[in-house]
Amino acid sequence: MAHKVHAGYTVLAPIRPGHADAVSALLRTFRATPRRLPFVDVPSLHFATGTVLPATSWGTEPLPATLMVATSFCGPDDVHVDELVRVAGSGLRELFAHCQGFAPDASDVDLAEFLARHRQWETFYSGMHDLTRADVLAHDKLRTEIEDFIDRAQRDDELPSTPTAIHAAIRAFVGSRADLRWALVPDRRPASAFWARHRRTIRLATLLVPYLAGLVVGTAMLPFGTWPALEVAVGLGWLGLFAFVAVLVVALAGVFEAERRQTFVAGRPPDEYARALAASQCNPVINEMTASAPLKEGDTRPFVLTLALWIIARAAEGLPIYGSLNIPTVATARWVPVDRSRRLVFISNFTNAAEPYVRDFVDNSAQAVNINLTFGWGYGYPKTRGIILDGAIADPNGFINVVNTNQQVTELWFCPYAHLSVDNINRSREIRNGIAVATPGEKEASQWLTLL
Amino acid sequence: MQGLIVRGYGGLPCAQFHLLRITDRAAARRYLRTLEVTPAEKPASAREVALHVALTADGLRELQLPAEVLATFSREFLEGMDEPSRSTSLGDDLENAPEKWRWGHAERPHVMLMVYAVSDRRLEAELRRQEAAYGAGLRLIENGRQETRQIPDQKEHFGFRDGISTPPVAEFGKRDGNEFWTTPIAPGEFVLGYLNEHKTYSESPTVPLSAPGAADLPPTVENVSYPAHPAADLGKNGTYLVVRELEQDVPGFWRYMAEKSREGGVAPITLAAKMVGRWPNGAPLVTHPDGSTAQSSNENAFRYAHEDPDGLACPIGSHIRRASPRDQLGAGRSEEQSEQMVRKHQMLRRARTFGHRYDPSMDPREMLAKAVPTEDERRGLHFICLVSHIGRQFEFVQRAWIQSPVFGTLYKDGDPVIGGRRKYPDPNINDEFTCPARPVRRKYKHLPQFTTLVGGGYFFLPGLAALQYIAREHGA
Repeated sequence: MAHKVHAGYTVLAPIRPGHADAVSALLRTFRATPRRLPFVDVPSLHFATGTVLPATSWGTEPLPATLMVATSFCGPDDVHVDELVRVAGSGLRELFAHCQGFAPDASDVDLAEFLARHRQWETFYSGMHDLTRADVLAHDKLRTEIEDFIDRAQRDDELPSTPTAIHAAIRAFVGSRADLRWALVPDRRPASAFWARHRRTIRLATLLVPYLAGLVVGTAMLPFGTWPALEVAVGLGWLGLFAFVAVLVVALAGVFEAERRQTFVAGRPPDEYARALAASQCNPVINEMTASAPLKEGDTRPFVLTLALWIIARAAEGLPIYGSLNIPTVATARWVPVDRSRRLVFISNFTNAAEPYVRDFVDNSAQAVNINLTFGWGYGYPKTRGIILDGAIADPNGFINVVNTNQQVTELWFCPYAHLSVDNINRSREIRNGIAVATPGEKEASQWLTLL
Repeated sequence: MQGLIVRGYGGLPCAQFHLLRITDRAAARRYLRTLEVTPAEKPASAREVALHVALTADGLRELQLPAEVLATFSREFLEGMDEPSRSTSLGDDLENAPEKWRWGHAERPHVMLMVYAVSDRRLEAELRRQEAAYGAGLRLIENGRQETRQIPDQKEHFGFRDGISTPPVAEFGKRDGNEFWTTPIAPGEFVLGYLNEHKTYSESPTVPLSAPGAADLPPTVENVSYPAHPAADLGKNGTYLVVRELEQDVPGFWRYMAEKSREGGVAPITLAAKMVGRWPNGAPLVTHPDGSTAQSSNENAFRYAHEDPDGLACPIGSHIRRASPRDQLGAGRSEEQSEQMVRKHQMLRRARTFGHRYDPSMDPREMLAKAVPTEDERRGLHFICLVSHIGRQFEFVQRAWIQSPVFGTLYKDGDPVIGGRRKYPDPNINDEFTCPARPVRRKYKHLPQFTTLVGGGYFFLPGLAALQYIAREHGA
């Protein structure tokens, strides 16, 4: 059984000079005519965003206009790419034809290779784990049918009086329906899911743990004998460790100095632009946000950002670095370092309108620390101190301004269940798990019924 | 500072609001300059009448406020409540659409004059005096005479005690030891120019120091990023005023409760209380789940997270739980996080009822007994609130809590009492009400709309110095 780990697949392709407007127009056309880029028919896909990152600069270094196609999906990478190429290949070819290094007559294999070659690593957060799109929709249908069953039973005064009896009645109803019977079988997560989610951390650990353990043991052994080779190895080991720490200290010092020198903080963006953003993000439940900005000044900032995003990515995958991340109301969020970490892009699918969503970030101080860590790199962001202090905490107005300034009116985004919040999705899964329990106790059944 | 910020004038039960358009700029300026607005400092005991004035962005434009000054007001205020995408996200569409309003859209007001008095006679006299004074420069818009009629015992027209949860405000709020917020809310949440809950200042309109009249205004407080340069603070001691005229379908409300109770489940008054979150006498469902107290109650020091996490007493989707979720925002947020966030979305309410009572007794049992329309009279509530940031406070609450179908743990619910209704086939319907119960909840579907928005606008309630600046000659 294939795993269902939710991951991001972000492709960045520099656009041919003079083609940026054409790509934007094409993306808008695809949004208006979804059959031309039928994400809806890509089974592994949850969310998708297509946008043009405008040409800009980091200091004096120009950053090119770039096409970004970002999907979130469940399952193995190769299956997702295969589906994208097979189902949406025609539209993707049309888009990438405007990009450097892409041949319009590319075969499926060429297109898949192009996607892989231009895939950008990212920090990806998902508010829902081990669920395919089909699962989400099936759970929603299951919940709706159960709710209707209860409504009918209440109307006809046929609902049993105890929680276990009601649970049994609902199970009987679900079992009587061929299209719902699958829910009586408990959902099991395949073992491959753990590897798929944590493989990067595990790989690093297999290098780091022996290295550090060897260093400690080797150092401890040295006083008890003469082992020239060990002495050299331990010496090199310590040298490497010190070198890494020294590089980190220098890089951090560079960031701190740049923080001290920062003078520019984004002001209020033009009202017309803010209005256009608000108008594009007022769906009642799920909305999308793309924000992109070159980094603030500081030569070492790209290196430190890369390191920080890598560590946050591992936390987002659920390893106990500082506990699994929980960002309420967020279905997916990703931070993508672009142009060799000279530019940072943030994409999110979230519950609520954009303005309340952004407010959410700075409404409590603990969250605002995380916001400084993840957003504080962008040009115009309020002045941080030690990367995580001040910033949005001290200047929430400045934070709102910089987010609004750097947000884009996304040309194309897709969500197959825009009426469901991430809370809805997780709650429906609990309902599905509860109905699979054959004989719950009275307390368990009672608690389960509160989900409805 | 205008007195309305610090007091709701419970002792001045008679009030009328005039929505006005400027017809003669010079005369309007003269009127505003000489208007004896009631200051916050004036002791309440020495007052039989109170006067307040607020202006819309259109009004400031009409008074030719310089464009560079106007641009420093909040975007929400400048665009107005009826801006199309705002209407959609606030739920001001369909039955509540601005195109159907009695005022505020087809002809936006410029000025709102608010007159409060101790008696009808005193009110009438003051209104005559003001009409004579503004008559040369301002005129009433269509339906611009907003009458009010106070209902005894703080009741609103459905028969429930209202206005109990007004947050305590540091420095000027009244405290009675019965508040949920044991630490008062920072004044900057409700008045511009003071520290807010973020320990900073809300964006305030400003005037360049070199501009004529700037010297009469206080300077801006040194701030982290706003404004970028020193300026005169036009917002200081002022605030934004959100006004929404809500018509209440009282017979429809009680008819619905009666019908649904006949279908089983709960008694009609209990169902209505579940929707509101309090009993008609004001007692909260969280602490009085069975309605055991007969006394009128201002009890407000209750919590949700421990006392009623599943909404078995006070439903998650009830009106008061949406308006202020207190210590339980859901989505995995702790009580501390919830409180910290909810504090930043408070509003100072100054609502007034209008129209005759459906039943003089205001007893829900009487209203239930006659729950058929007996007269064709409009009645409802002038929802009025003061906020220093329209987007962060009023609009956030309206969008994310009142109107959201997925508030808390819900899927398709909206505020059962004041919410607009999106109905099937809209994929985001919010016309259900989930009433948690043991052993299992009861759902009420296809909920009718009990209130209808018939007018509204965003106003700026200036401080006294700012009013003089606004009313001065600015030139073309």
